[in-house]
Amino acid sequence: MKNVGESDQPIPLPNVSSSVLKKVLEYCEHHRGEPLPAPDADTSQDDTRKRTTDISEWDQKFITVDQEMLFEIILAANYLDIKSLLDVGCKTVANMIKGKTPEEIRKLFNIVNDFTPEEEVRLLALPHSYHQLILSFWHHQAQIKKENEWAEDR
Amino acid sequence: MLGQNFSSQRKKVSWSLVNPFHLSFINSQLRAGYMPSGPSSQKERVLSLLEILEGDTLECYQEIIGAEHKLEQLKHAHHLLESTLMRARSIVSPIRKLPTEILQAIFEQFMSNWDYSLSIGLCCRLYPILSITQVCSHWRETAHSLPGLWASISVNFYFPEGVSIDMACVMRHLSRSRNTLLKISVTGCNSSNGIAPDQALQLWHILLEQSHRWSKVNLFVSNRAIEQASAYLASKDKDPFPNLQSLARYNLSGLKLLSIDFDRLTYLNLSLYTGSSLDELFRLFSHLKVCTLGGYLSSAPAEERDVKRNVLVHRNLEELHLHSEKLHSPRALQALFFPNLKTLCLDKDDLSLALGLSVTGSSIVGFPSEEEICGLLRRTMPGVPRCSLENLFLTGYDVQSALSIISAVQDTISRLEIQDPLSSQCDILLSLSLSGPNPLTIPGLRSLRVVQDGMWDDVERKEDLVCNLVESRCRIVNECQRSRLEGLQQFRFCLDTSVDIVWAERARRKDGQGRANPRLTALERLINKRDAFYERIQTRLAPFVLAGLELGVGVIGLPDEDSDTGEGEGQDDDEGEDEGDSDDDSRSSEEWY
Repeated sequence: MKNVGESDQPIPLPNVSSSVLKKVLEYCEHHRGEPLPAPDADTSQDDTRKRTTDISEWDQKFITVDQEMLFEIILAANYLDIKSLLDVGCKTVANMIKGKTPEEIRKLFNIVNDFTPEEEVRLLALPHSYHQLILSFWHHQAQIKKENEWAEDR
Repeated sequence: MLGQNFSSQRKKVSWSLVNPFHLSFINSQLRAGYMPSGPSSQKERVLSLLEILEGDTLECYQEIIGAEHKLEQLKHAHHLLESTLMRARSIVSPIRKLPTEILQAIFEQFMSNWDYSLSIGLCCRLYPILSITQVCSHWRETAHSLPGLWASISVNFYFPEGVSIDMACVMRHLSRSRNTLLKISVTGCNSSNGIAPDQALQLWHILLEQSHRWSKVNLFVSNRAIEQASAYLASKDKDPFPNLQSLARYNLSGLKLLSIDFDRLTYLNLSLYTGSSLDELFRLFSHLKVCTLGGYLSSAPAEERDVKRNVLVHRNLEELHLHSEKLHSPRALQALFFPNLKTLCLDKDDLSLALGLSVTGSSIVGFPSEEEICGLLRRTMPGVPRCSLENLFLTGYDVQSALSIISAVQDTISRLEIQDPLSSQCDILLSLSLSGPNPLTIPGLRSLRVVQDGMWDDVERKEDLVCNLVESRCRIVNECQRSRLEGLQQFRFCLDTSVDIVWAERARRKDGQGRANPRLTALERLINKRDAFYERIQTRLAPFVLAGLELGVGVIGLPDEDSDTGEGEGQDDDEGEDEGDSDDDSRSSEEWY
């Protein structure tokens, strides 16, 4: 789209359906007049300006659509170079992933687990969270304590 | 013969029924009182029938085995078909439409929820990145193709005894981050309380080995650890931290041992600075853009006359955060001038004082006065532009001091946050409202957040003041059948009940559980009233919200169990909150409408 420049010629949008274009226009209409995001706003070195997955209320309502439409909007935003809309789409997907296990993510997006059995064994060996690690540690400690008590009783 | 006939007949009707002729024969024999003694034709018939029945039973059992086997085969085939169907469906699943670069952007957004992609230590999620790398091979490859996702590591040496650190994991992260600059946090001292000293040292060395890639570093470690680092880095280049830009530490002690080039840093966070003067600090860090100080103690307090002669102009500083964690020497800011300062955050932390808490263990004896702050903000020098502050955050200042500071920058600020959790006075709302008696105009104000003590009685008056403030600062413009908002774009009003809850709890413990406590009663009253409070504000300000105002009204500090789930409640269902690294205020149950 960057190469189109200023022209009276119609811009072909073969990859964007009318329903998706309608949504994109709705977004642009709502955000008309707002300043464009700075080109490197997201790559700031400063912690205080770190990226978050917060989405404004209107944008949240706007993007509450089925998956088919969500990904079409993201693709259209990418194709039409509407960075703020692309950001909203990516943040929405990121929020959908947040807090889910890999299996839940697979179910959510209809993704097939294509790891080989060997890979799967290696992956499952990794603890997901420190909490999990601590639980296994305390479980292990409790087991040792029980065994010691049992031995003392004998 | 009879048996064979029966048998073939039975097979025709499947095994669902027992041959009725057999049954009838058996029943008649049982009822007739037949005695199986001696040879007889009748006994032979029975034996022949037994033989047939045994054969049939065995045959039936074999058929069961066959059917079970068939069932297993069918189940397996079904599983395969289902799996194939899922695979076929996944080919057309909407997410597959996304090209890799968008998936990468999603992963970056996802990982921005955590400060570190790997955290080793107490109360931290270990591998947030695992949930994306374990989905499928494409996601895994995509995550691996982004070195930045792996380039932030946090280590806390306080690790339960008996648990060994997965060094391989740290090394894997370092390796996958390739040559990307690293964000490192090291906390705690590697003493006998934490992990085994040799493990801690090994881990410390693994991280130090990559010191040339360190970009943002939190070094809350003991001086002993700094000495160990110095010894380890002695064999490396003269400049072991060529990319270091951001540093957070208790103080500057020991840092000279590490040969850090202070002049290169753009971000500095010190719990306490001690030195001859603050201007010495800013001379040392001449390229700082962001500076956070928990306190500063000047060994030689500046004299008024010296200050006027030797003001340091620091042109790079854009953000200054002063927190009252520690002591602050008076007049330390008088010898400084930050012409490009855009953000000023002043936190007096009256909350700690009110609750009798002190980070240092001693009482806080000073914080820059409003005169000193105003002086800093209004300073002028020939040939140097005046500071035009854009964002001002004030915590713990009384109304008069806050108004005095705001008035010094009211021509330039666009974002203002005032937190005074110890005051429920209406003065600040009145002064910020353009319809008040002596309003602060703040013409460029776009975002305003006010936090006040949650205890107040005159709900209607507060409600009225909040709405008046917003109405006076917002203007709806109708053009081309569309409403647009001018003036204030974002407004938040929060009631902080943290202090009240602690006070009420203390009073309850002191008085005993049986007696009614007036603070608790007042808190309960607030809890009961707030829904209506929110609703009325929302209703009155609805036209502005429709035109684009971001309105937030909420309560900070109320425990979750006291929050009901109805409209107007702060429901934060963010599952990432327990993951330790969120920047969000964990006390907040603020609701956005």
